[in-house]
Amino acid sequence: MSFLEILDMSFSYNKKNIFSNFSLSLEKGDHLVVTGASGRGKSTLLRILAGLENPDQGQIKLSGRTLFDDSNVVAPHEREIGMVFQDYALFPHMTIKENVEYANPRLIQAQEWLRKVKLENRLNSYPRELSGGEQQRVALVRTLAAKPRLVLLDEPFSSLDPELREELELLTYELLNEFNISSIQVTHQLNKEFSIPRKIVAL
Amino acid sequence: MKIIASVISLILILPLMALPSRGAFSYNETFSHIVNTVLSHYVSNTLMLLVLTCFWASLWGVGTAYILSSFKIAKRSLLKVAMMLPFACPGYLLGYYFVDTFQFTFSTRNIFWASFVMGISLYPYVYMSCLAGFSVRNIDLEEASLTLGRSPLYTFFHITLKGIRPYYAAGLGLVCMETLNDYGVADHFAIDTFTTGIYRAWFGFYSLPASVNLSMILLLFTASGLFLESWGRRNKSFYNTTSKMKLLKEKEVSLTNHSLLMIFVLTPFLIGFIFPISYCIKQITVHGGYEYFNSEFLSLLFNSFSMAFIVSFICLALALVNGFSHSLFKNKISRFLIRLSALGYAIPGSIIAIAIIVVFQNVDDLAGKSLVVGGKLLLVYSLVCRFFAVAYENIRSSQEHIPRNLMSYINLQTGSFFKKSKDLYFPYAKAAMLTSFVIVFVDVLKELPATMILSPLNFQTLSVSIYTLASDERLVESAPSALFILLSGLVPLFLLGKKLDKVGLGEN
Repeated sequence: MSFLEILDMSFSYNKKNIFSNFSLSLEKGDHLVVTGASGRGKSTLLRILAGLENPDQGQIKLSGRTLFDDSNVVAPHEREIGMVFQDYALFPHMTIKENVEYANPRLIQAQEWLRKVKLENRLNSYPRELSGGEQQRVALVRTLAAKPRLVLLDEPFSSLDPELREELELLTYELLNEFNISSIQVTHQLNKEFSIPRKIVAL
Repeated sequence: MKIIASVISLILILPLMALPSRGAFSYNETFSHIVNTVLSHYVSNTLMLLVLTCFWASLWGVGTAYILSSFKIAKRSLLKVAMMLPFACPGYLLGYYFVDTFQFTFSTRNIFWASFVMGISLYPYVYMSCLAGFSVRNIDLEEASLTLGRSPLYTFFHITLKGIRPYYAAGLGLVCMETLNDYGVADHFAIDTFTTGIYRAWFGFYSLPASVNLSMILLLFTASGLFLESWGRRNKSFYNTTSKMKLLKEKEVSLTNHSLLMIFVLTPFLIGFIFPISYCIKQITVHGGYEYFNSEFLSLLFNSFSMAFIVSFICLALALVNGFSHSLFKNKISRFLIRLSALGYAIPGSIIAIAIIVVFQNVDDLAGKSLVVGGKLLLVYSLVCRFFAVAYENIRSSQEHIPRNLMSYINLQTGSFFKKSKDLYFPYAKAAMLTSFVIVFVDVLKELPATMILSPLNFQTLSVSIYTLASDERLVESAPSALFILLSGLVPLFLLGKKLDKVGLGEN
């Protein structure tokens, strides 16, 4: 049995079929990159996995646990699936430290986590005071601090310049590997020279 | 013109500056008696009433705004406007009808029910500002919270609600001001608060120093509230860090949940609007209230109408001068005075009334003799001080829409202020002028504490007449005045509803 299984999933939006009998599987520790043209349902796939949208039919399993089928829908907060949003979705009224601690209130060393992304000196800054790259790193650390089984990356590097994008992409996958967390990244700017092995699916 | 604006501002803040001159915080026999006997009641009751009213106003205001902005509810656009209708009914009127209806069913005259009535009549302040906040919130933040393992309830309190804090604080701030300002509900529910205390010190003991001292304490209350909120928000940002904001998509709800949400939404509307208006109509049609549409009613109507017209006109004229001066000149002192003069709405009417009396007593002292100053003039002065801010804020917000280059062009033009205003400003300010005028007009019609304190003996208004008759349990006689106040309260709501529509909040 695979770590993540999507079986015969269908999803339509405004009477338009986005997925029809779509199936996909992923092994523990694997990284998958989903690419494709706009409107093909890349982000929708992530939202379905996170539980933010429900498919019309099909089955989704994570580590043998059914997250969605005809009789069972697990709520997003109970799925143990983290998500880094395209706009990072940092809470503007919280400091960086509070943002990270929000994900895990029992986290004793938010500073240690932020050290991993070289932001240990910005603990008391607010998101608006950070650059785009810094915000992306906080969003990643915040997602990892919640200890998810699977991380979904919704074009988190798209608004960064190419050099910074490559640096942060590498940092992201290094951290995911450090914690042995599987991931699915959606992107329309695929980096084929990337040093960390990833599976690629085109929609 | 900046000198004229500064003088206007000084005249508007003069009462508050003069207030301490009459022995504020100094020893006075009456005040000493009040301190030893009832002051602790005033403090505890005012605080309790404030806390409970805020609770009810938040429950209905935040709850209904959240439901109507987040869920697919039948007739949502209609409900969004309907939720504002309880605004039309002054708290004291709802209080009289509430007590009259339920006094034999359960014990009504206590803080709990007083706060309930106040909360129902004031929740639209919270509702309107929160609806604006909820409607433009970034849904990504809530989804991020859910994917971080936080429950929907936790997310609501920690992300959704905290994210709209500036909107919520603005609405709740107005609820607090109105609660501190209230005289009618507290008096009818037999609760001793600062405002009823000020009134009693003035009319019961005829002690100006005691009233001044109580007013100063109440003023400190108000100022502390304003300070605490702005301090609580220091350095915090509530604005999104992204320009790619994803707005919410209304959630579908099951039939059972839809019914429960509908009951929640309709409760404050039914109690706050349908109940008082049907009660009032019943008094007029079934119990013979129509007989009181007589010459006395016409005289009340004329008094209220003329007072409201004069005050609205003065407020509008002053707001235009100060508003244009604020946008045309960068003089710091003038701007500071203008901003200070716009604080009047935050100051309870009873304080302003006492402060006006202090001003004129000081003028008498300076003149060395008692100058005959008409009570109506004092009343107009106090109402202008109180409601100037309403007109000013409306005019200012209309000026925000004037293109910057047009402002520079206007500045360079020669000609009188009136001509420049007529040709260039007024086309932009026309709608705001009408809104300001109407809102001040209706606010003056409903105002009770300052009107009670400053009304000359032979001069009664609709609101004072309702209070006097309701105190004697003559609700039938007061029904025509009540109906008029209720219906006139609908006019500014109609204007507000249009405004909400314009910014996309009235419609889906």
